[in-house]
Amino acid sequence: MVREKISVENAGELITSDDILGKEVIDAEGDFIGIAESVFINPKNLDFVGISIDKGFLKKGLMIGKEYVKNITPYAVFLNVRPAYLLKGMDIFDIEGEKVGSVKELILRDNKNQIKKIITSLGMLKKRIEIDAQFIKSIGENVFLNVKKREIIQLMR
Amino acid sequence: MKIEVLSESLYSPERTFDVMKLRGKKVITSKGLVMGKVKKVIVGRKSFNIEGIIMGRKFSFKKIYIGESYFQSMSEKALILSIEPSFLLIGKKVLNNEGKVIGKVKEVMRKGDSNDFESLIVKSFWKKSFTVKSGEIKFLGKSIVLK
Repeated sequence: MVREKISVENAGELITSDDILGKEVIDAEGDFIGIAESVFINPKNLDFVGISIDKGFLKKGLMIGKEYVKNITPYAVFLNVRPAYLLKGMDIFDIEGEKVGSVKELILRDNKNQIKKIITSLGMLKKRIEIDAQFIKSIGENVFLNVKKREIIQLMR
Repeated sequence: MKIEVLSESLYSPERTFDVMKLRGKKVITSKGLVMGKVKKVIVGRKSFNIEGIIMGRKFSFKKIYIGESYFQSMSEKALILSIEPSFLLIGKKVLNNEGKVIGKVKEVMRKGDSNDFESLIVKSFWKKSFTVKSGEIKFLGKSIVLK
């Protein structure tokens, strides 16, 4: 079928929704986080807003804004961030390597990918504690804090 | 318990710690992965300084020696490394710059005994094993992305 061109410049560089849907989504750490499920377009200005990701069977979907999309290739959609939700379940270690707990919940700043607090539970009674983002030293396979466990406990009192 | 001190340098319990307590403690990589536990602490015969540790891993009889130059911090709770040991790359997916999976790391060719590596041997299901030089790697993370 011959397509009639109305007013598209550099049409060869453009991609269609078919080029995005079904592609694997890879975060900034090279982790496969799911499959691109749908493409969101603003109905008023027709701008591309973002994509939604199917994370797998029985898992909640995720919407990623276009500012977090790095590039789209024939095989995958690369993100420029590591989604904060991936912290859930990670172990939390203090500055000395002592395990504080594991990440139960996250509190983000607005709807952005910025962590405000991480929530864990401590001790036999599973006391809920909120750890402010300022105490996070680094995040990788697990979370490292920049303080000692006992300092966190003292702050909670 | 009061300890009588016999030393020419100042004994400070705050600045030092009992190495014996390190045995059995976790060895954690710079990214927070618990790799194993300290089996032995190795001390120089002449320097008397800690030169490294021997680590054991779960479900493996293989012991690993880690030199002190790769230690970030050491406490009575754990030993934290300043590196991600390169042998942990084994089994990771290798992607080309378009995100296509081209294989998995089968072997890491290290520079001597150091943690730096010269190349990775990558095995694909369909193809024969091939070599990826360290210079061809864009970044290392949960998977390995090539330039």
